Amino acid sequence: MSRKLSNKLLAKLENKEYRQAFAESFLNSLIATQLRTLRSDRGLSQEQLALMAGMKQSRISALENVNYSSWSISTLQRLAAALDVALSVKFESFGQLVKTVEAFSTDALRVPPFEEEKASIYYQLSVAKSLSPRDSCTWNRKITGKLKC
Amino acid sequence: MPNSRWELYDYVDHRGRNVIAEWIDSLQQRDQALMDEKLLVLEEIGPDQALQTRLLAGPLRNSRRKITSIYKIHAKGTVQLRPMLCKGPINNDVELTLLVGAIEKGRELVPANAVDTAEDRRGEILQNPNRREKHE
Repeated sequence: MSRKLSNKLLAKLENKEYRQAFAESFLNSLIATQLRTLRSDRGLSQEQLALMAGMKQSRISALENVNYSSWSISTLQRLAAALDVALSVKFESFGQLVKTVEAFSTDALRVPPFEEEKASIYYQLSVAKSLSPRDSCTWNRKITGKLKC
Repeated sequence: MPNSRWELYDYVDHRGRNVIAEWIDSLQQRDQALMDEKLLVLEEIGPDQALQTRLLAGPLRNSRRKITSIYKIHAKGTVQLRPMLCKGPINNDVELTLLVGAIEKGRELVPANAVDTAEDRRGEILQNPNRREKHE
């Protein structure tokens, strides 16, 4: 479910100090909320995720705080590895930021671990390689371990 | 569970002034940005997840040490922004109402009676639902 930012808020983005602070704050909220969502989706406690990422539980707790702002890419990479997802960090325009904010939702933050999306990835690969449906099916069975496609 | 957005309202005083919008507009640019952004996130994730990610704290105690229906937002700007709000109070499942603009200095709320004022204003809205308007 997406929203439209109000004209009042869009007008405020004209001010450089405002838009930089807005972007920083949104990044903090986004990472903290996504980290908590992904951990929760996988049924992990903070202690379990901490163990998997080689951190202390108190660190995970701090990272799940929307006001935390001292992120490091290496910490995020360790968390991405523990959650079995890819980490993407990039610069973008404020126009894109507005779109991202408008599309922001807990559901939009959900990312499956590799094991869950493996079948779909290999199916796409088989289509790209123009394998026959039968080959694709065989491949899918090998990947997923399922008897039927 | 389908993802539904919470609706955010601002308290308006007896003269029809939106005191929440006035408070946000009075903040420095950086703090306005933080407040606007945190409120957008709050609308999306709702109070339960906001408590888990420490965007919200509460319920708070009033000056008589009694637990109230009031919560405070945590936003760390050039000052510690702590506006007071409540669930509902008309529909507690889908609405939040901002009641008082406040900050925290040295663990003390400014204004010091922010929770009591928020409780009073919540009561005013329950008596007269026109004493609030949609947050913009």
